[in-house]
Amino acid sequence: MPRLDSPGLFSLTPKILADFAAEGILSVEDFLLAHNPNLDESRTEARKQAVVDILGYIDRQSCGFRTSARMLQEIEARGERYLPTGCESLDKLLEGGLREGTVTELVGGSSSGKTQVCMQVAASVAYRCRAMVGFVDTCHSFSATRLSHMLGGLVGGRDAVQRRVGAADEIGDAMKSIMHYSIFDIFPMLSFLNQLHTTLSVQVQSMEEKVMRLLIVDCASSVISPILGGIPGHALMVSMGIILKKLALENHLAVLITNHTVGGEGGHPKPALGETWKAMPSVRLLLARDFSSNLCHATVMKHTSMACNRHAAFQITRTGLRPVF
Amino acid sequence: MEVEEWVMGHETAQNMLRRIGPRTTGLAPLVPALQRIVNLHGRHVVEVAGASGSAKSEFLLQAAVKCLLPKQGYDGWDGGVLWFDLDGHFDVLRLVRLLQAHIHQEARRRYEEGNEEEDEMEDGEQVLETCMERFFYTRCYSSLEFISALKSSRNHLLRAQTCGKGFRILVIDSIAAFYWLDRSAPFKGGAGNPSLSLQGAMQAVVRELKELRKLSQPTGLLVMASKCNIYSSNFSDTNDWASGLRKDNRQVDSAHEKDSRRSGLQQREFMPAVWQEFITHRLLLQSKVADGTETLFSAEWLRPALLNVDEFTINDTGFMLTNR
Repeated sequence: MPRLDSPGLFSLTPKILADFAAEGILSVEDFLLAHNPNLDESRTEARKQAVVDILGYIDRQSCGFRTSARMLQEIEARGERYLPTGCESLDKLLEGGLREGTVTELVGGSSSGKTQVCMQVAASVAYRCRAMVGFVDTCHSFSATRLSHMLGGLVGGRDAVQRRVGAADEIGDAMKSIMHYSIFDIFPMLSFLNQLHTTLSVQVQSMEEKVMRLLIVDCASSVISPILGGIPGHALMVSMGIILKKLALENHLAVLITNHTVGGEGGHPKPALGETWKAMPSVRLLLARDFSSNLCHATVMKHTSMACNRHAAFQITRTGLRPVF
Repeated sequence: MEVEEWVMGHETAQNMLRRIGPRTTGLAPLVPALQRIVNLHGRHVVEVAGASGSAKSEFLLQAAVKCLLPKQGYDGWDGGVLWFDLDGHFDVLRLVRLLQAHIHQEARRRYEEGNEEEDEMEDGEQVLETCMERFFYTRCYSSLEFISALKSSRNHLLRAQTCGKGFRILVIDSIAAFYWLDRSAPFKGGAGNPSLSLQGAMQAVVRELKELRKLSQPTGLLVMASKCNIYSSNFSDTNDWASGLRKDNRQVDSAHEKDSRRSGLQQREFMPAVWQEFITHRLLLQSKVADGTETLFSAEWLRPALLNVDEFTINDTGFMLTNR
């Protein structure tokens, strides 16, 4: 928050500023936190005007209030959509796919199919929605070869010889719109996400250029869990949660993150990162893989607007995820 | 003359009751599970505690819907709602669905009673529109943004009051969203210069809320806040600040002792004393998975402490109490 003299308010004369400074109010932050009850019923007219102006400045800076009627209009104008996951059973489970403006979390143990789902969603959004996809890779699990196989499955035809004319171009085009970032640490992660938020906020939409509509962080927990423990670690975790939510809500991205599991009470695996993180995602899906039948099960653990504990199943094949009903 | 008397301040209890009574009593219960608390009104502060996924936000939304709906025919509060979304989980489509469900239910009931049908549909659309215009929403990403939003909501409050339809409920979802951020803020300054610590931020929040409540006299402003669980049962705090706080409170507040004893470590209290003294009611929500896909929730009043535990499920129109 800026110093009191920096917004350039005319009513804040040097004398008034000195007055405020004498009370320990040097910045807008101090003004907000000050517990001086007679701040509002001030002594002089000039000071009253100064308080009104600062309140006006605060009002302009905050994102303001909207009525729900206007929010609904905005959603309709924007055409907020569900992004297809590329697997019909998952789409059915989520009633359409990943929703723009929300954070979805995949939870599962090692090799439960988290990365496979992430790559399938990336392929599906890049190919079907013709949108940019950001893929943040924190544990070297991304594979471009695998992605091209999945795109091949979406375009149709198992091998190059079976494909129709132009399919290769379509695959190449989709591959080009998936941006891959390797980040292994919390601080580069936070700066990347903040930078992305700034870039997307100032971006002017043009007809030719594709817009980013999906951000994947695979795996989010592996940059957070090393710093957990103690207050600063938790604060960093919350910061990351907030910037992810900001990207979803302000930039209208669908955000997909993954989380690993740790041993909970009685040895049962539970999602990592604890109670505070649990409140972060809007949707949480639990993935579990049955190796004997090669079936992956997805269960809704948390959903802010739908019933939980519903299941869906799919198989991981060479050309992507195959739904099993 | 009447005005002069009123400005002078002193009045008998009977006069006061006559003046504000109709505005605070006889209000419909907001949520079926809330029925156990007889009369929630504008001077109360309700905290809805519970782990993630225990239907806290849903509870607040149900209350908001009841508040938005008109008194005539829908048994609502006919008032505005100020919604501070600190968690980013608010879904406007869900609000619309809930409002529509309530309006449809009412229309069907009237139809079954044999009243005319065609007018009702138009009426429903109008009611929905009015309700949607009365719901004010803002989103905050830090405590400072939250305090700024509280400060700037004064203007909205006063504007709405001059239009005659004031705000009746202020919702905060969830109050503990920035707990870790505020706790990690460096402590600077002495007693005269509050810094952005958890204590300082909560003091400012409570002060602003009291100010807003004062501005919305005579109806007052019912504050409803959800509080998400921060600690899992086995988390140990490094400097044991929260447990020290708990001990202090136990001496002051015997109702509080019951809170922590009954719910165990799962619900240990972590908010600063200034917030805890501010709240007047506390409801604990928990979720249990019942057979199949049905999720069963339980609601228990911790303050004032009631022995009954209500169990309910959630459907399209709201909370359904299950009797077991």
